[in-house]
Amino acid sequence: MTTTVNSADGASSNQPSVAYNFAYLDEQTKRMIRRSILKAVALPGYQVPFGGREMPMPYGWGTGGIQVSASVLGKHDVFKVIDQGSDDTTNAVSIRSFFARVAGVRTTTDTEEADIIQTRHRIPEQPLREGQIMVYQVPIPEPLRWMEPSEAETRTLHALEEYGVMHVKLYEDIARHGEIATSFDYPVLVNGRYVMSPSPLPKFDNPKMNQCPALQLFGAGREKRIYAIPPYTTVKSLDFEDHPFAVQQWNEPCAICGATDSYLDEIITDDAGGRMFVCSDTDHCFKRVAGQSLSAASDEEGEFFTTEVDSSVHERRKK
Amino acid sequence: MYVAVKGGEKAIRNAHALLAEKRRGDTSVPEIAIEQIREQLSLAVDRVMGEGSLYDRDLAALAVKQARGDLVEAIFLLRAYRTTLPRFGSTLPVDTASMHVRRRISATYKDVPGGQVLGPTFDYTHRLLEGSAPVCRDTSSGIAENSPSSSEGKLERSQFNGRCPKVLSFLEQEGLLPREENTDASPGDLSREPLELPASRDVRLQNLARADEGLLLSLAYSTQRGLGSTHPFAGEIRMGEVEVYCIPEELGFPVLVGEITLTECESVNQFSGGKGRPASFTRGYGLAFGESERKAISMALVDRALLGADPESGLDEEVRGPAQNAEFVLYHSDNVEASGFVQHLKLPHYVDFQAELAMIRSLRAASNVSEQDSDNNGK
Amino acid sequence: MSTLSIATAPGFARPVDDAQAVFRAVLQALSRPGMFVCLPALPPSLARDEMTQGMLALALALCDQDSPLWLDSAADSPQTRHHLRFHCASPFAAAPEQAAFAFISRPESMPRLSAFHAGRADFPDRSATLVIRVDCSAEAPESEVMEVTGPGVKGNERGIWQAFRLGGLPAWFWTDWRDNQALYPLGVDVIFVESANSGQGAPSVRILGLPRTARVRKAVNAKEGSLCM
Repeated sequence: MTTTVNSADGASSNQPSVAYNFAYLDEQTKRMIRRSILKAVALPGYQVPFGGREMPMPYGWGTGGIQVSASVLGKHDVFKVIDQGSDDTTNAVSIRSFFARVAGVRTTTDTEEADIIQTRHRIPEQPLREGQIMVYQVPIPEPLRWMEPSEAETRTLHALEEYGVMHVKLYEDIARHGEIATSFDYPVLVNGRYVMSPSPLPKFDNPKMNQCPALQLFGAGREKRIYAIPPYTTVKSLDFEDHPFAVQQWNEPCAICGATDSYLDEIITDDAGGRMFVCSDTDHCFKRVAGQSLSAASDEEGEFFTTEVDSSVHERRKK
Repeated sequence: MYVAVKGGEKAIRNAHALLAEKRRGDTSVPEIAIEQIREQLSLAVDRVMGEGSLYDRDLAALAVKQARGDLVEAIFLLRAYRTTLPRFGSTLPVDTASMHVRRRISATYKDVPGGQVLGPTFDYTHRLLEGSAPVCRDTSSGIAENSPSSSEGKLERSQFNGRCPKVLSFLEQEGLLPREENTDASPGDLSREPLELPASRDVRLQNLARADEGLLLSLAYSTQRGLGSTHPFAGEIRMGEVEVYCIPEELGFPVLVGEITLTECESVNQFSGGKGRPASFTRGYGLAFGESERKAISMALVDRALLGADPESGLDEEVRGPAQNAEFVLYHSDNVEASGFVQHLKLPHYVDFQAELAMIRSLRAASNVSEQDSDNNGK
Repeated sequence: MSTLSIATAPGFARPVDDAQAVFRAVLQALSRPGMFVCLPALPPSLARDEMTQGMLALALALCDQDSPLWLDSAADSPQTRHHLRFHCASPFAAAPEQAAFAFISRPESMPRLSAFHAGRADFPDRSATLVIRVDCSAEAPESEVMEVTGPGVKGNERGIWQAFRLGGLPAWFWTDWRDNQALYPLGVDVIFVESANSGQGAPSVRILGLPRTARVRKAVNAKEGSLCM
């Protein structure tokens, strides 16, 4: 299938219209990426270099994830995109509409229904299932980069399984702050061998990666790396015996659905610093609200969906 | 009452409409045509072709227009199009020695065979804004092409049949500059393969040819100011047209497929000798699509700076400045990569920021407690 | 005429969709070691069938000018080479250690696993992928029930193993596999391809993946499994 796309939005009509392949990438590029993905699956947590291509979105905006999705997607797949846990953030909308346009795939916001979920910064709250593929957008794939700026050096450290610098960094945190002061992109050890960046997920999501039934693929477009966690693979967040890994917790439930076990976004509600906490995973939150038979307004594209929140849940924190 | 906004698609549509309106500007002013950009903003077109890695004047002009004159955005547009193009094959290496030169200068010799040809240059213009004067007027009076502009140009170009010998070849003949040997090895291609370190010179040169002109300019400048000095001379700068050939597999002989404009710079740099190598000159190389002289010179200087630590070069120079650090230069030279990543900060980061908020609050709470403790103990 | 028919022997009926579907099957197989996965699309078979439809499907889906192929002497023929050159543009590796993909039609006489490239410490991904034709029926010669654990095997962290049955492998194979596994993160990865179309009607070929992470032993009492629809 070839989808014709007019490359010039809003420009005058006498400009060339250009034909693109299914899912934008040419077949040779897809094969190259597919071979890289297969090697990544055989080497859980190891960063496979690949010949990353320019995409029609900027580097840093999900081009790695987009290339992985474009190489994996088939026309019968149902595709979901989230950014910050939400299907409605502008870049998630943009990537979703890109694939609807160049691959003609069906899209969804329903985590359960999706075959492939491309994400930036979150793992859905609903447990993933066998057969699903998570595609993570990764800005800096190298977990050792902040300690060792040289690529040649970090590659050697991985080869030698020499992760002392990472443990020293975490230990220095404890010495200075009394705890590990890394709240997102918290490093993990995959299958007991490679230290890996989980992408900038809040560490809240790290435990979801362990023995996950879904295949997890990571694409870093600008840095041109692909890595993977096969289904049912042991993923351990680095820690120390006397300072075990722990995730974020909130003192209050989601102000919309009342969830007490989800990751919450903080929203400033007025000039006086009033704030509230709501689920970052909008699909999860919406389903809970619908399940509670509470008011759920129409959910049409481009419309506003309004949820009334009792003002009593507003909390004002004054320091 | 809290209202969760779910208007992403509508907002994006509106943003696109606004962008189109701003791009067009005041509709009482005539719309600029692609041909006008191609012909009258040709240096913008050249830069976009070079860093966009695609020689197509019309598409580059379209990109400049679509990008509202933002050249980095135009480069990005061209790259994103280029990446979808199928490859039919590789051309033979272009022969810049047989370039039909329109500009050709050497700063190392007062005169050289073929002469100094000033060509279309800003160099000796007085940078006075000319308002309604010559810039905006037609210059229909004919100008003789390729007339040697140097008053010292005594050697006739005609004797070389359009081929100007390379200035640096005179140094090669004298044995003062190592000859670059032609190998038949096929060069690397960064648009197909990821960068791997250490990178060989062919890959470095490709990276520099696609690199952001501003970055190369600053790096080149830094070497001149002493951060890894390479004592450069502009041995030769030439600009003009070269013919492009390829060998179709079914024919087996070279076929002319077109002509492109290139700017080439070969710098002559000092090497004072060492490690069993006598003193000699060394060469930095710059090549860019179109008329891109600032880019070509900067590229030559940075190429030479990177040569110092390349074991293949045998120069064994100490890395003292950023321009000599291959990893720094090569990983940060691409403005499509850099612009995307710097600007991705505009994307929402609520989730990571929330994680940081929670952590900072908890660290502050912990340190408040311990400060109070120590205050209490002090009393 | 015969050369013309070689040059024009078709590949996948729907090149874009079929290559994607076959890739997903391989991805599934390597993600879930020990589980059989059905190939959802097959190209027409060649007159000479040592390079089976299943093997051809993998070659068409995964190989091109950037992935040197090695064919064992059974799979190798001028016709097969012509076909692969035409559809994949793949270069042919002169020796097993130069291959990105090796296609092995007669495993009983295949080179030892150490003959293939296992990658480099800094680039362990640059190792060979072996596509090996096997017989999966219970009556197959040398058929043996094995079991596997490691990433991709549900319950591996609790010591659960996944059983599978393959026939036609040389006697040394599983010893070599243990040595290959010991090289981790270096090592080759293997995709076994069922040799024959089972039954009538639409052809169906199953594959089974063993990435280098897979630990394999003789079956004790684990269950066999399949992801075929």
